[in-house]
Amino acid sequence: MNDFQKIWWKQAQSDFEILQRFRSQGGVSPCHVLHYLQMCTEKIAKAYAWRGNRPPGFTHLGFVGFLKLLANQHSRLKREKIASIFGYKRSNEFQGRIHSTAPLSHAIERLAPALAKDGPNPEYPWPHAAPLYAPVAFEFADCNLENSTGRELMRIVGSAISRFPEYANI
Amino acid sequence: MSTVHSTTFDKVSWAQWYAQQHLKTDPGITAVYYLPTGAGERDIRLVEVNTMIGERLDDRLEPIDFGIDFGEETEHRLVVLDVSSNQWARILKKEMPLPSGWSLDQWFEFSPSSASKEADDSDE
Repeated sequence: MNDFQKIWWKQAQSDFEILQRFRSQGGVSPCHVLHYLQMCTEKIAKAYAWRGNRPPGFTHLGFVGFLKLLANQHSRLKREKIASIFGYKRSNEFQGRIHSTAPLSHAIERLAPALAKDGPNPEYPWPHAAPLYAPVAFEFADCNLENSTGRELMRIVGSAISRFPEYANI
Repeated sequence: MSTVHSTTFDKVSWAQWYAQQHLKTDPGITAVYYLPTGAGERDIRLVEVNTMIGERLDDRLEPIDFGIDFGEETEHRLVVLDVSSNQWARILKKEMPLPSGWSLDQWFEFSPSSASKEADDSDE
């Protein structure tokens, strides 16, 4: 892991800690939980993108693209190693989990204000021209983290962050 | 890239492999297109049409550049442009520009039906 990756990983870890604190203490509006989830997933993806020791050639990298890259290493040895790091026995099992959680992962990605198209997002009231909704009072039903898919995705996110040093250079 | 490579790199084969894998892994992807013209010797450019992505408010298209296998014989760049079906239609009609340096010359599609085939890969 290079120094640039360490910097991004450190911030992703901090965002994830806040997210976990919000979830464990309860009573926190979903918008705050989802805001930190969106931020920590984007940052760990960027931490990985820095492994070439040069700035990634983009400003936004979603968690789905990052997971697709990780799970679809051309080398079978690398694929199996990464699957193992994420807690799966086989790479096709890891790929299957990414497939089943993809709709939720995409929904989390779309929460970024630049992608929310003047609609639901965890940061700013919308629509911009005549606000009708405050994120703090919105349910975000598409981003349920408490059902089986949500719990699986949170497990993947947790592994992506806590075990980053093991795959940072793959 | 600074690495000196002694082997040839079959870009189309690798591109097809990535396309198949991405179609299998992401249920939002409905089509993958290969855009070879203008890409570097070891650059693979794919356009992935995805029903689940969000479109940027500023209408800007930004490819994601994945450097892969740094320092190895197979070092290359996988550059993926995620677009909605609406954006892809606008690109084909020249109503929306591709990223700088990209071209529609000689583009072709990797069929979703081929995604179910067992993909070849290395280390086997």
